[in-house]
Amino acid sequence: MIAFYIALVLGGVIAAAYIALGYAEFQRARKSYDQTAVTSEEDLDAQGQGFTWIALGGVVASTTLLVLISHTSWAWYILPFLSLGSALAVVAAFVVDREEAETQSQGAA
Amino acid sequence: MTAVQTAGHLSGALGYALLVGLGAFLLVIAISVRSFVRSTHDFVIAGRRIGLGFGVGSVIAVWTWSMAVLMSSAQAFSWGTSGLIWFIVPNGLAVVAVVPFALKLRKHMPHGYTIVEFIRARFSSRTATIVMLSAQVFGLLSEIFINLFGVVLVTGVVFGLNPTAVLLVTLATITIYSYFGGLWTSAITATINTLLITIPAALVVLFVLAKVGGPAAVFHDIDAKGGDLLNPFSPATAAAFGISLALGLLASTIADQTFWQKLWALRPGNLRRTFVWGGLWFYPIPLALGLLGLVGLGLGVTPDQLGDAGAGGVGPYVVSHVGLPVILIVAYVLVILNACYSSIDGAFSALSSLVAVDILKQAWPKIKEKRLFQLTKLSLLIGGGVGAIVVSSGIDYIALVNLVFFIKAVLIFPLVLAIFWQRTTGTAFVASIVAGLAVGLPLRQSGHDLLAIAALEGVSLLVVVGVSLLQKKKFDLDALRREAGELEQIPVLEGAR
Repeated sequence: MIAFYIALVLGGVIAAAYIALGYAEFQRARKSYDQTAVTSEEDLDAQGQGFTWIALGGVVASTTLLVLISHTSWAWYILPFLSLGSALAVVAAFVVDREEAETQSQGAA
Repeated sequence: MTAVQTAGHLSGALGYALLVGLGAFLLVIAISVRSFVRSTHDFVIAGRRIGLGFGVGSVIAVWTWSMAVLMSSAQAFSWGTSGLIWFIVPNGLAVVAVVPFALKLRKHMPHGYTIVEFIRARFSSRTATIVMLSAQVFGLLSEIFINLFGVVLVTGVVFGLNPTAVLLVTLATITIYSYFGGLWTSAITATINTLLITIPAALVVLFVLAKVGGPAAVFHDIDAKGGDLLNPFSPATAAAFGISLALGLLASTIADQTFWQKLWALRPGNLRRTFVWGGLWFYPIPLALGLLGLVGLGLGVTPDQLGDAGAGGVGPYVVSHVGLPVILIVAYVLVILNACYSSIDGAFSALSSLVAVDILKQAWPKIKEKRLFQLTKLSLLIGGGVGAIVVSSGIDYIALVNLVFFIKAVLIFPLVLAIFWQRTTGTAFVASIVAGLAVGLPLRQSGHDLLAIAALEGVSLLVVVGVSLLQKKKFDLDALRREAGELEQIPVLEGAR
């Protein structure tokens, strides 16, 4: 039950950050309605680099986790905590959005 | 290890309150998002201004189908850990696989809206366009039906609710809140759905594990059953459903307007990150919920106990029969409902983009913006109505959905080559789909599922390559740039709402 209570606390903190940052991003999107995002073709080409390794990494990581839970019971605890990690990934994405918005506003100034 | 407890259903009123309450909560958010939507362009493509946070949040939620959540437990229950491998690994990979398509299309067709629009611009073929439009509409309606089935399943097992009433209440609820904001509403509400899926899922699974004596007890009981339940690479699982499911899942993202709409709606600088993060961080959700299926195995839950729900009901059964506090059972139901609502809302949003760009704008090129906007929104109500008629008619829509996904798999090679191979022709595109289905469908009907999917893919690849080579034509991908973006030319009309 200790794992549950740890997850409860972590989940509460993550949820609070998720809601706060999500609301801030919502307000920023509302205020910047007329701004158009522009990206060059070179940016799009650059985004394609290393993609195969990332896709392969995802396959290897998820398969490794499933091999682990097939051989040892302690690894089962990893999976629910990774689910908290999914919410944390969205929190991180909101932070990236905020930093990019700040960089853009400094550039405009 | 704790035994399964005899438990009655929770109150039906609580079940309906959850169905309607979640919808009302999302409706409030949808109404507050209305100010974002000033034109049909905003409604169907969110002004191409969706950032990384809402992008990742909505990609995770839209791909987390209610049945996907339930099926991860079901596959673990039916096949052990090999069921999880074949169900989950291709699932996440299918989202990441969108990246090369997203980058290519945003580069050559930056003002696009729909996959059908791409086919029209790429081939200038009425037949190819109609084939793709039909595949998309039926595919999206199937997404709606299969997610509704997930709601029926969980509310049936936990609350004992009437399936028809649940279907109608759910459809009405989602249709109403989807009506107000289009893709912006879909992205924002889906991001909230992701929060309400990931954290409650972790808490429920950890409490269940604690309640049944910890993972070690479950692991020991499964190990004692012998067989291949703890062999993650059991070949029987691959042959039974793994390979055909993996191909079907790849087709489900690559040939699905729900994803194409997002690839054109995201800020271009975030394309790769959004789909990579979305795909990689989707994995933990079915991984965690799959453990409920292993707990069901360890507890010795039998098919008789699951009744009509079958293996898909093992997650709800375990959660409602191991003595969890009501609040955690409610949290689990909300996980399934959020998965369902976000997927159906995403399908509605994709449907509205097809209606605006590929039906209304093609039938009446000079249609006024206000009229276009109203009719696009009306299409959501019509889509909801069609869904209500189909699901309440008693049709075996799971069989229908399986058939539609089999048919969608035939689109993989023609579509991939249409994007990446300039010599692909419209005739080859249509011929490969027709030939693939002509060979694959009869094999499927005769019960040879694996052979059917292999033949379907093999024939479609051979025909699309062969016919294209024979026709000796070459398409200039830069022509795509000139053929799209009609809605962007229409001025914003205040008051169009």
